[in-house]
Amino acid sequence: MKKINLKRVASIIYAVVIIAMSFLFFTNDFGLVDIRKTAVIIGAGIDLKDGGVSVTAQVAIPQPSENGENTQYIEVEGEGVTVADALNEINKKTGFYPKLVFCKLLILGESCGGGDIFEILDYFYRDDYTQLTPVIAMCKGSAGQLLASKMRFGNTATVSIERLLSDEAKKSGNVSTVNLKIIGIQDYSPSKSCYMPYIRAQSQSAEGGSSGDSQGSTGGENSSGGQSGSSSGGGQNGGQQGGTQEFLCDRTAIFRDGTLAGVLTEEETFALNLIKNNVRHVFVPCEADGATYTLGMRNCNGGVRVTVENGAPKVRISFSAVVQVSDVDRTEDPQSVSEGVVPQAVLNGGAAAIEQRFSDLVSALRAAECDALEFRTLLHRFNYKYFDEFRDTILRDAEVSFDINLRSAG
Amino acid sequence: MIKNNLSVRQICIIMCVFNAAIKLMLYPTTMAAACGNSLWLPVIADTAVQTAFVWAVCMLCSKTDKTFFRLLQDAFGSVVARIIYAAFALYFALSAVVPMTEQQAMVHEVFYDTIPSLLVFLPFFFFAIYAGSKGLTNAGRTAEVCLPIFVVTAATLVIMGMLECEFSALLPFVTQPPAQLFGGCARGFFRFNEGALMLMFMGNFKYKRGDALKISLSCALGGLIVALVCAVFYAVYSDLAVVQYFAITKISIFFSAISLIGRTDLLAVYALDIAMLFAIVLNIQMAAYCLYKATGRQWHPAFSLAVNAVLIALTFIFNNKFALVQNLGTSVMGWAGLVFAYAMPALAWIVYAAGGKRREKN
Repeated sequence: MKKINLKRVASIIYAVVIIAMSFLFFTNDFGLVDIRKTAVIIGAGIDLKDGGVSVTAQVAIPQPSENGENTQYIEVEGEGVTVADALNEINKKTGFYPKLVFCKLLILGESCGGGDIFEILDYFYRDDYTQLTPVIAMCKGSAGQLLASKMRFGNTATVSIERLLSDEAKKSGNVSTVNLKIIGIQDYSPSKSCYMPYIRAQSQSAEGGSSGDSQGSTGGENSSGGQSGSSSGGGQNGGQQGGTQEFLCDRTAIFRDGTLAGVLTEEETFALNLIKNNVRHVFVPCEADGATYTLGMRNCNGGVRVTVENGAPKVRISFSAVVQVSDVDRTEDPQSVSEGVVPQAVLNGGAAAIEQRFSDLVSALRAAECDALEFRTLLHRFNYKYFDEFRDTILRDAEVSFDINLRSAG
Repeated sequence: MIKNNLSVRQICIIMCVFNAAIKLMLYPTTMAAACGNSLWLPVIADTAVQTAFVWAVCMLCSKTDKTFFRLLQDAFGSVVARIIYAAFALYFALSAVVPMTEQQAMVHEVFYDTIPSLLVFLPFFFFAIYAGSKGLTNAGRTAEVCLPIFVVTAATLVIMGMLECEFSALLPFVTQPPAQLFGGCARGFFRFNEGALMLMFMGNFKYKRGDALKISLSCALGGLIVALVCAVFYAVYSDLAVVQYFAITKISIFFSAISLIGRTDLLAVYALDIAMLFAIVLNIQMAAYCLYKATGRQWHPAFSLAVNAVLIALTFIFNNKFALVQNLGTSVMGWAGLVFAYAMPALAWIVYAAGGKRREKN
């Protein structure tokens, strides 16, 4: 029988204990904190006020509880000369050290659009304890008021807006969801342009009719929003008798050198998303054969290619998808519906509709001098030897062509 | 009795796994700052040069079974050999400083929500004292344990990063001026000490035909893994890479599932950290081994304690002086690396020709 070497066994046990102890130390298991003294920021709104910065943090306060609801949400506002200063004031006001590692949403108020947003966001790119994963958006009006809104289903504003800007919504092509990393990369790129969703609250009368945009406001009892969609939601009391509000994220704020250069319309936003995002399933209305069709598109693939031919830069915007008719405003033969073949005329109509949106988008970006489609970056990456020659003119002067390839699903 | 025998397989794993693991903390970020989207190029260049020196030592191993210490003894006498090994001990101890401070900063930043006390890092030294008191055989065994941990965790993190990255950020290829690229090579120079490690392994394993190729390729593979991580890191962060410290812990956080299920990637980071710790401790083990050779006494626990005492003192001295440590690493350790990891392997051939070769024939 083999003799057990006790010295060796003791040595192994010692090594394992040391590794286990080190592991616990490194993972902060000896640094557990009382959850009643912990505040986790799940979303933050930033506004510019009186030459300083106002940060409204939506804070989750875990509560020890044995049943159900064990988290409270409060909004705390701090002001300072910078974001870090404002966060420190939140710390002073509450006694909670604000933790941003769980912050999933950043909202910039309309007031931030007047200057370079990266001067405000600088804190998030410097702080070692913040990640670049939070989704970022700009809102009409005050971000603080938007975050303080009470939601229809008892959710926080952060949760509601997060849902509107989710990956699933992004895949539908209706919202231009971006995070801090994406806008940072875009702004530091040769294009020096970025974009983010533009949130607005839309008032509705008690009868359900839309009455246009309104400023985000707070307070009052919860009430329902009458209209919903993939890029709208929530339901917020607008402080108006008999009226409700809902959030819409179907527009896009575009920035040049960090400064707000304009807001894209819903159609332009949709076109931007088809090109820039990995969209999965979108719906495009079009006219063909004297009828209005709504085409459902899958396997979408959009992109931009920049080349230099005969001494001139050329931009080719392409889009391909598999198409089926989702709806049409006239009665159709059941046989043709079951076959699912999309007539060529309808495909052409769909291609024309998409091309028109792309064209409108390029025109809007040119008017705003915002290179959100990253022509300059693509020139830099793929045609570097021409970069210095065309970097200043490519957005304005490049010949843009469209290559729309729609295939019938049937 | 402390053993210093190694197998070729263990040396290959050390050259590949520890070579890569110790360079995955801040090295990619410093290379991104130095060379932009060509950050992978200095890594490949430095790896190629270091691999050549590893190969040179391996070829010397094919000529003689003697340790480097014995070659020095035969050529210049015992006193010179002891002095040189004492210098090697100092070199290996100081080689641990930069990765150790990086490890400390990484643990504090990645695993803690707020800045913890410096004392939190001290358990590292309990582990380092214990591991350092073991011989080279122990280092080889730990390398074998670390191999599967490293492969699984590094692959997991890189794949998670690759699914959310844009490799076109690495374009255009190599547009930086040569001076900038050479500057990048110089800044990363001190992190490559595989040539010095190989000198210490010399004579502690039985060389067989083809082993030089295996060991050199392992060293090159370790460098290529680092270059791959650098490329993925830049493809994830593009121009923001220069402000993203501790690359390997950051490349996976945009993986779509993480937003739903939380930072599960940290499990891989924790596990990878084990391989990194052993890679850092290897320097302490080598310092203890060199002190054993220099003194001729197998007082490994005492040597390990002494080396770690120096490192603890440096940890307190350099606390909150992270940039200073990096600058010292680039400058002082760069020159030290030039002497011990590059010049010494080349000089080993001269030492062999001067004395070792003649006495071996006798």
